[in-house]
Amino acid sequence: MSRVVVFTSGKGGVGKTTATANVGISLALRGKRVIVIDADVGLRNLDMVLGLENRIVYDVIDVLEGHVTPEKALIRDKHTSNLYLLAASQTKGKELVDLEKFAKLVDHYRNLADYVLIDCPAGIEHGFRVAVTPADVAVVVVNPEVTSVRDADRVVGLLESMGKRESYALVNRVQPERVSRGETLAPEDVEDLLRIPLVGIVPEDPRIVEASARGEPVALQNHSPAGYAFRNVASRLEGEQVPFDELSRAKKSFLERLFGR
Amino acid sequence: MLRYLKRLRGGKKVTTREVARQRLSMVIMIDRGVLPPGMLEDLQEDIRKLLARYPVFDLSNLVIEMKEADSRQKVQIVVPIKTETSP
Repeated sequence: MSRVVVFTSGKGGVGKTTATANVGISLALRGKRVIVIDADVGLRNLDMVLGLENRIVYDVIDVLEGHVTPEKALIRDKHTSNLYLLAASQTKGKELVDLEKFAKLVDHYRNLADYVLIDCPAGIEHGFRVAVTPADVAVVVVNPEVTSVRDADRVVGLLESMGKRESYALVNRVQPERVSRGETLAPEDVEDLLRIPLVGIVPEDPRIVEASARGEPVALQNHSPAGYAFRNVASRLEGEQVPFDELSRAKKSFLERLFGR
Repeated sequence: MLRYLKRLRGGKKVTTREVARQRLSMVIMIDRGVLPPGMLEDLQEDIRKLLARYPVFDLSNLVIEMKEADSRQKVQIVVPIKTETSP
């Protein structure tokens, strides 16, 4: 049974696209067939994070308008053999994205893959509804900051009203030292406040910026704390019971760095 | 240094984490329509006024927070008692 997972947040800039790319890569590394869809029409970015920006010929609007088949518009990932990207359009307007047509397209992709991951646009308007409607599972990406958590709570409410029963929180950009000093919200606070279970705790990792710059997601790096955390998200989506040791490991790797490992 | 020593001896200040939790728990309840806006300030003021009559309480570290327990929403009020080292 294939699963459709939407990555959403309400607030922009919390790491939805990074999360979609890295969880997609992680699932593909586990041998799953994965299709990632950039639903952020007009602000295409998933292609950059995956390093596929030069390979795009067709985009989601071309498919929805029937100019090309859904299969032909997919771009094969260069890092893993079973990940495919459907890019957002950059110039064609988002008002062109029809909710029902998009849902039908996602259903078509269901038959081709084990996982269809959708990178949702920021905000809670039309684009949000389009991206969320076809999903079985929602991953709410949230930073441990009051503004992000408040917006995420709004999204959780909307997901409930849309009949989405399976939602998880992915707490991104957590600074382990600050959490232990009580200077910031802890992942368990976010879980308590949003009242949805955690699926991931991703430590802040300077390698993320470098990885995006190079188009090589951190999930491909063995020593990146964030990469490890994203691979754990994939394992949990697969139903595995994985302990939440991301922060203690991230701290350890800092010490390891200090002592030259 | 003095502050650090005070902290060690138990005169602990409310952490940023706790303040953030408290503020979020309230604002989320207002956003969800569970609590009417403005109620929190009134409640806080009333509780402070009442507790100010008892000097034993440390009102600078008063915590008022929404909690869910036994699938019911509850307001949890934590009133620390002053320790010797507290100002």
